[in-house]
Amino acid sequence: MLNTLLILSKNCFSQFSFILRSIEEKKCAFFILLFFSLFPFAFLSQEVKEFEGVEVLGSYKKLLPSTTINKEDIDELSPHDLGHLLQRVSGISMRSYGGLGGMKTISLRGLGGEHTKLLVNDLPNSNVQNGQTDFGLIQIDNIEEVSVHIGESENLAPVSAQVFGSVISLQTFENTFSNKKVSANASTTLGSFGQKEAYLAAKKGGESNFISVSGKYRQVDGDYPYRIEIGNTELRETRRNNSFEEYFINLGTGFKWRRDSTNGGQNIFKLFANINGSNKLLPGAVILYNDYADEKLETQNFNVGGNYSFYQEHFKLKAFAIYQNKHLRYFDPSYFNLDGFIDNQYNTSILKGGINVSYKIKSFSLTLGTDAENSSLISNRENLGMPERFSSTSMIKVNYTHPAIEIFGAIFNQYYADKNKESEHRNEYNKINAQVGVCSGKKVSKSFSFFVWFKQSMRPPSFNELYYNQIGNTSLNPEDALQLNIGATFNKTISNTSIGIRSNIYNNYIDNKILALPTKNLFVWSISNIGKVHVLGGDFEVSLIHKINKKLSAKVSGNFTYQEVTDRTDKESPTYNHQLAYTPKITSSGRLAINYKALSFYSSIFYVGDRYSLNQNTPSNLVDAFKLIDCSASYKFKIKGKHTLKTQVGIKNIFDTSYSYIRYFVMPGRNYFIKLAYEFN
Amino acid sequence: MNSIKYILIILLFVSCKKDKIDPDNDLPENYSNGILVLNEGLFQQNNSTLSWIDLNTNDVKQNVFLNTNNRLLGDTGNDLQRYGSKIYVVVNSSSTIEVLDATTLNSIKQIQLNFQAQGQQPRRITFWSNKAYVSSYDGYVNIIDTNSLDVVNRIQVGQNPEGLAVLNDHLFVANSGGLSFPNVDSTVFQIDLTTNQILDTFVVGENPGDVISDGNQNIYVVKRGDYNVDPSEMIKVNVNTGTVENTSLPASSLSKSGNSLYISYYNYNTNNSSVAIYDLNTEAVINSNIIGNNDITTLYGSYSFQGNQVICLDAMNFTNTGYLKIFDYSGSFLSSFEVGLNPNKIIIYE
Repeated sequence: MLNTLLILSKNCFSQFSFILRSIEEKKCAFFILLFFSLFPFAFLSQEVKEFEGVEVLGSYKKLLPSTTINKEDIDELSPHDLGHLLQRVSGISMRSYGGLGGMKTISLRGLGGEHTKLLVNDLPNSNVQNGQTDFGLIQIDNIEEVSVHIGESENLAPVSAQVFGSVISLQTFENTFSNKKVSANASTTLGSFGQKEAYLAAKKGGESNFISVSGKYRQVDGDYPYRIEIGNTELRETRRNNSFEEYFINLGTGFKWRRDSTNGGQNIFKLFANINGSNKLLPGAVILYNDYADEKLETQNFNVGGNYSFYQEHFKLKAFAIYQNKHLRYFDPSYFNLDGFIDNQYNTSILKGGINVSYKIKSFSLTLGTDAENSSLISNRENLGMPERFSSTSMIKVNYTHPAIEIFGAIFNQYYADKNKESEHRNEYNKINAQVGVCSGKKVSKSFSFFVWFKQSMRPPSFNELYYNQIGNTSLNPEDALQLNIGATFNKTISNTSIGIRSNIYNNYIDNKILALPTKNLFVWSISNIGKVHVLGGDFEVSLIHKINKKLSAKVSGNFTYQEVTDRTDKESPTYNHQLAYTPKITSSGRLAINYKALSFYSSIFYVGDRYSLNQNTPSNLVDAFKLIDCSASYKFKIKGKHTLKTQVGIKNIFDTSYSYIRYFVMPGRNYFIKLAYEFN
Repeated sequence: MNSIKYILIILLFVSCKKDKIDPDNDLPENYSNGILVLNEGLFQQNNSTLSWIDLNTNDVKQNVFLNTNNRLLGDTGNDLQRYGSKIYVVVNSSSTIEVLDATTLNSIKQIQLNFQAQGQQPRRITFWSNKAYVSSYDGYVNIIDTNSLDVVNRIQVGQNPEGLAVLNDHLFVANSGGLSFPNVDSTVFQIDLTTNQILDTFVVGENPGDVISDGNQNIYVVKRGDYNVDPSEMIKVNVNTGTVENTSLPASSLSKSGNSLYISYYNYNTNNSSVAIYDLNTEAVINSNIIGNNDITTLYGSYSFQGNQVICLDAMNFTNTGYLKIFDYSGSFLSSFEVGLNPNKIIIYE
């Protein structure tokens, strides 16, 4: 009975579930709201994202606001990985499968992890095997900026990403032009539970060309103590089989040129290569009375890709190509099968390329784009076969810009063809999706902006869902999502204070949701397109930056998200209208930063409301809400000239809260870190 | 700015403590006239529980083990059996046998089944001559002395043993091989309990599960097949003659009451559930289905009740709270009790 579940939870990572409406939660929510009403939180950014080297952007910019997290924010929060950072963004709920190195998946606005696409340096990251990105595997040291696009992505972004429910885009140090001739960074971090890390990065070049390299190694023992209540007794243990190591090496280069100095247009070419790997022991869930664990997971990824862009006043073009190779190995050395062990290895190869062109006539601009991908998976598992997928996506997008109103409309066509040498061939499928957005212009109000958008998207079934032995269903169709959003932003600077407020209300529908359920028996699960989900949510974000004088400044920000993500599959089901498993109704976060000369103090709070471990919202499935508070302080030494040395000391989970994202995947209590960073600019 | 700082610090200390739901402590001192239900729970959720149905009041008490013993039962409870004055709960993933006083349900001992620090994953338990025999997924049957409650010996058997039955001083063990699926095992071992030696091997069909003895000369085995083309059926083994016969009766699990065998079957293709009654004396089916199809979502086991009724365990969709449902032999629905996740075993208290 355990077998399939085990495999499911370990390899497919399918989890299901929902939430609660207790008085206690409301109480907590009240405090959080109070906190909010006094100070805001969160990452708000209204900067217009500009393509490098383009002076006049006009209608090529993105219309709808997105959330941006910059290097400074990342330093202040010192997250452990990208997942840890992203959980603070409004509308994101993260699932962390325990520990520091555990797998982390995110769900944006109730859509499920497969509806979010990751772009690294404008290159799409594909994960056809399980459809989700493990954000716990993405380290943050080299990230200059993270942006989260929900309503709309940039016009020239790969169209197969634009069509997704949301896009998370990373820009890294090795892939950005710099106004410095030489820059270098080095840092080392030591933390609780045997955390040791070192990072090195260097870039030579400047505004017209650069070459850059970076590397990182991290090792964590992860043997942290934990407490869990088992009835009226409290169990105190130490996490076992939880150590891991990981590394990355990145290389980047870029060139910018013009054919002639006046109207020839700007050419940009960039190349990016990355190798990363991890070797993690898996502690698994805490199983009462049995703390034996010896499984491990290894990953090795290689990515190489490039972008070419051409910008003119009325014409823009951007093309990309990327090759990815992903190796994943799951090893259980003591499984009770005939072999006495499980050694599952998966190797995925992805080749992808695309081109977008955009042409502007007066107030209109027309963008056309297309991209194509071929992915294949080879594994040593029986019955999985050799799945292969060809997909292509095309887009027509029109923007209209007027001082009072801006409008965009886009139509996407997606084509998928899957085949598998050992399983039956399946039919190909075609999907047309539309997106429309309207935003008020500067003429309506300089501080306020109102926007409404509508977005259709889908996510294809993953190879695991299609072909996994005994579970897979080759007749699966894509899962459809429909998002409707109304929102407003307010930005104003009054003397030394700048205020930013943003709020959204959204209504999403998911149809043909791909669900894995033990419909045969607990041994044999089945996957089918049976789910329907309704999402009704809203968020509110505020940020406040106050400069008291040249030496002293403070920044406060916060966000609050409320989401009802309910099961609408079957009216007769006991879970009808119940909140989905592991989807908190309330999430909230806040930050405070005070800078005085070279000294800075940061504090942050993060709250996840009550959730349920299964889709049935019963008291026995309730997973308690938690609230975490982190603090850190940093001091910057100017050594001489261009050399800076910064030291940061921090405490995470100050109140030693015992918590978990997923039931029995216990997280660490209070822990400490010290970081020393050197910068040459 | 200072006031902001102070307010922030104060707020940092505001904690969102929640009041725990009061546990239901209104439990009987001595358990009688009721049904004790083992709910398997779900893997990695440590939510296997015991429910108690009081037949005087028709009240259901949940989390009986927790509320009696102040701790959780553990992860994936697979078997619940009574022997003498004790109750034995086999908790698979936790690798424990919880031994309880049958009258009070107080824990007498938690037996850990580990070998070289690794949990052995016990599955089923049966008894013979003051000894308990526990099939464990590591390929062994552990022998526990029911007086000292210590593991006294272990017998190596096949892959992932499941069902157990005793007939005439012999133990029959179904070697499922389920963890090597689809390369499963298909044998039942016959073990002499006086010497703990394997006497014979019967090939019964793929992935054998439940085993039950008629107390005379036959054992009945459920071979679960491949969940695809090879159906789940009941196999009869005459241990005297060594003949293995496929009865072709669809079966998922078995229970016995007097001379009647209750054959539960859940058809995962049609989602239909049925309970057949088989006469062990005449070796023939008395009634091929005594329950209506519409009343059960997922049949997870059935038991004879009060001579003319049947108790059905309904696992719903395996992730929602399960039910215990009672029918009479004409298939009329009599009553239903909400229990825990995936109820799979019961003990009826007179």
